[in-house]
Amino acid sequence: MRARPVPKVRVSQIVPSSPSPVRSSALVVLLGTATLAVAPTVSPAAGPDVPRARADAPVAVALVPEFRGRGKARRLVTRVDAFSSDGTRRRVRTVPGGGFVPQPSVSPDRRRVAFALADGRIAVVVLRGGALRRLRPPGLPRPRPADAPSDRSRWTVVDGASTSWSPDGRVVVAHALVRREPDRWGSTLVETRSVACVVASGRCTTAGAGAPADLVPLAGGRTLRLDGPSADDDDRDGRSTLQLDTARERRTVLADGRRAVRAAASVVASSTGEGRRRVLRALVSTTRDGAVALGAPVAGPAGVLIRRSSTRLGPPRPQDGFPTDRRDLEIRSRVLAPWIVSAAGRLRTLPARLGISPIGSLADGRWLVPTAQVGPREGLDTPEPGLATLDRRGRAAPVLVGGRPVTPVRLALDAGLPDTFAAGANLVAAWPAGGDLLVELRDTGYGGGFFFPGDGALVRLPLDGTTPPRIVDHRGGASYDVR
Amino acid sequence: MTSAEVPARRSLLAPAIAVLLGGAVVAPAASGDVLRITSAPGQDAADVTVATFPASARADGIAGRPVTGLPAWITTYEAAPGDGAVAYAGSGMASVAPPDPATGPVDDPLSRPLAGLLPVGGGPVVPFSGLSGGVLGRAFRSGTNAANEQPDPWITWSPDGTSVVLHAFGRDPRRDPWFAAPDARRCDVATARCTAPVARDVVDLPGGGTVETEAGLSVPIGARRTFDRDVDTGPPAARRFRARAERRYAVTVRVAGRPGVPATWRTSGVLRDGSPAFDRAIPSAAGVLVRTSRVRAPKQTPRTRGLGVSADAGKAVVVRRDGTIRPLGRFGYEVVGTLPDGRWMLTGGPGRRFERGPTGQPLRTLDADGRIAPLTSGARVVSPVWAASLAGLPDSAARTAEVERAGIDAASGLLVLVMRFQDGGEPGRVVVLPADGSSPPRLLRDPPARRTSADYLVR
Repeated sequence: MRARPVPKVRVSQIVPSSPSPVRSSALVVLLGTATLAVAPTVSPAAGPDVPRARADAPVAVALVPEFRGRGKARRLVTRVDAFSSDGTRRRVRTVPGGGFVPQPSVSPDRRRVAFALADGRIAVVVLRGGALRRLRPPGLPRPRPADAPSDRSRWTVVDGASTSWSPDGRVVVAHALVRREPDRWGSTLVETRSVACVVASGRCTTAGAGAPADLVPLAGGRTLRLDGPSADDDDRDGRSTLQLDTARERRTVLADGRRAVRAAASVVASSTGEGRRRVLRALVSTTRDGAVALGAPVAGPAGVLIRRSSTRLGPPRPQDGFPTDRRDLEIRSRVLAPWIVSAAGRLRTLPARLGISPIGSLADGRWLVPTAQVGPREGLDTPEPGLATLDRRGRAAPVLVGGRPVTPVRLALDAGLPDTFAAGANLVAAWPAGGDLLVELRDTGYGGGFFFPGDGALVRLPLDGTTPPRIVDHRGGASYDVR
Repeated sequence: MTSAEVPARRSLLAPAIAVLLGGAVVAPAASGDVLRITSAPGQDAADVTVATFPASARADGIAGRPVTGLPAWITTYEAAPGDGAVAYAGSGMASVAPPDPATGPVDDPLSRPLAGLLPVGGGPVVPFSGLSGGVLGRAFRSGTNAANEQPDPWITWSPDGTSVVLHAFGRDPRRDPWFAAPDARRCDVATARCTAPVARDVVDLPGGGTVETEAGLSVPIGARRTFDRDVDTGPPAARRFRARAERRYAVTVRVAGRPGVPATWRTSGVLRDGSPAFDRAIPSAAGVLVRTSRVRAPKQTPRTRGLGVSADAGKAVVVRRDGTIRPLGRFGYEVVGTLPDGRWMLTGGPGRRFERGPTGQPLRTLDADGRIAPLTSGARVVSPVWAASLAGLPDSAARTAEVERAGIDAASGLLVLVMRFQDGGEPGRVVVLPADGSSPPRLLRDPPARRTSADYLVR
């Protein structure tokens, strides 16, 4: 596939600033063809519910998996480290458990950090003093009997599991719970669920029996609720053939596919996602029309970006002139243009299809993406990595520092990370920090190899290009959040 | 067999090579040049061009003269030391190979092992033949994918450039490659005649004599020893395999043809526990590096059907110029070239299974005393990912870059790295960099139309 030409952007066009919470002044709700206006809410940026951070509060937090003890007492723990503005590193505490790489999330007042634990609980650690609180999501959605052909079907937490805070710091949401079902290839991700917890009371909810795929805390005590099947982060355009052994199996798969599937984005006037929903937009579809799945939402100053993709089932087409087995089914995947729920609560569709997820955002509303080739991928195509911006019209432009693109391999080499790290380096997240960018890199291997847990590193990249990037931190398995 | 069975190396004058390789068209390359062998795709034969150029020059616009008569499927090239021709080995279809006098032309598609000399300055190919004048090796029906399964041979030149040794040439691809003992045959450059193969490996030792290696197992030539190789066997083969697993295999290295130097080194083991297998030996100006792999088979049970074999780095020795042997212990590196002072250039890691590949590992050098040191450009350790990235290759190529060959350009002193990339999207490229670090690595730019099938050699 030929890449679209992308305009280049100079460094001066990037205006770094501290992240700002999602603002809302008016909410337009679309339900079918009806348009509803919602009363404006107070902008949290100016509202009294936005907690102020202490001047000496940490600016970044790292989670580092470590082994403790020897022999049979050897166990895995997660170490919580905090970084002050001068780069000083401080150990906060260790939390029992680990075994996967959660993404930490620092609260808006920079006093606490939340992250998912492997057992599905949510850890909240006070950065000053290290007090730990574990929030237990009650009544994790149990799979329906029809959906649970094996006892191996279970809820679990995945690598990269993330959490997020409401702008007022009262509610923390874990986006990490997934259910996998065994199949002939191992297991398939069936659905994901989010859990919202009120930190003060410790009360957690999955927002009702029809639990949503995801919850995004908004300003003013509201929540964006996403319902529908979850899209894989690695969605791409493509076709594949589902080979079925019997006609009966084919009928079963088609019958499952013809069930109406609803994908919807709604706003709920509560901080936990419970209560009456005001639907912004909903799609009801079957496999005849193509079921629409929603990707993990990414919040930024321009709003919440929600990637979408459709999947259709149909009879297989002859390939290269050769007939296909009539029992087979063809699965056609297509990446769709994402939704953006703006700070004003308005839902619009980005005028371009998006094949990748943003890894950060800028104060001017642009997103930071890990490649300038943001269109949908096909087959096994992998876009050339390089930090880029994505504007509200869906146009991508590479970020140039000193006239050169910012690529993960070169960034790691220039910063002085080991060459072995550089060979497997990928852009994970980026945050504006003064006139610089703080970039999280992770060594996740290459060439089909995936290494767990990959080394993590936090690199400060001066955008004016006058000084080389430098390592803020580099630890095995580390993950970071910056406020 | 004694060394007398291998034709003695003769001093050969350059004019003799010129006459043999087509007279006036021969233009020997200067020592230290980069050679680029490009072949346009063809069904049965390749349109091959051999070009030489100094690494200090830009490759743009440099084109060699075409070589005629080279069959397709050539897999191995090796340049003579100093000035001289390029020896090749591989296989081709019988229809384009010289007919075998014993069987005559064959209509069925056959794959035939082929070897010979490429004139660097263009002209006709000079194929090697047996002592009787017949073609080398036995043809195999391509219906069994013989051309694909045939192990890649390898070539070593004598230090004076008068003869080449073909190793693992013309092996029966239907045999289990793990249990093929090493073999070698010597070909005289002046006459283009080769001896019959001997059942051991033979490499010329600088300073006189040969290093001869006997082994019951050998690593499939061309295979990377750090990868698993599965032997897919049915019950009868499994029985044979189990019997082999109980047998003791050994690798024995001797120095022959050097009176007063009775050096011998031997290592052995049982396949089930880890048996040494002969791996490709590599000569340099300082001696010969002989490596082994450690091959293991899992414990067998009567119900075992598919039996896996895995290879890992084994012991290695350096046979020095004076004939003495220096054991190195386990040696996991791959050798990508030699330096004028006789040091070997290494990629990869020293350890056992090297799961990450060599991309991020520094290049290293090994001297005849067994000392291993990182290769540097100025104060910076040279690794494939670093050299590729600073030379301007995109991340997708740099993160999979591997050095296939390396050498020093004699004219400029530049370190020359011939790189390949795992994903196959990027063709092979040549990166050059100064040893003193005075300038960053840079790419040798080739005409794009020719890059897709280029092989590079560094003398």
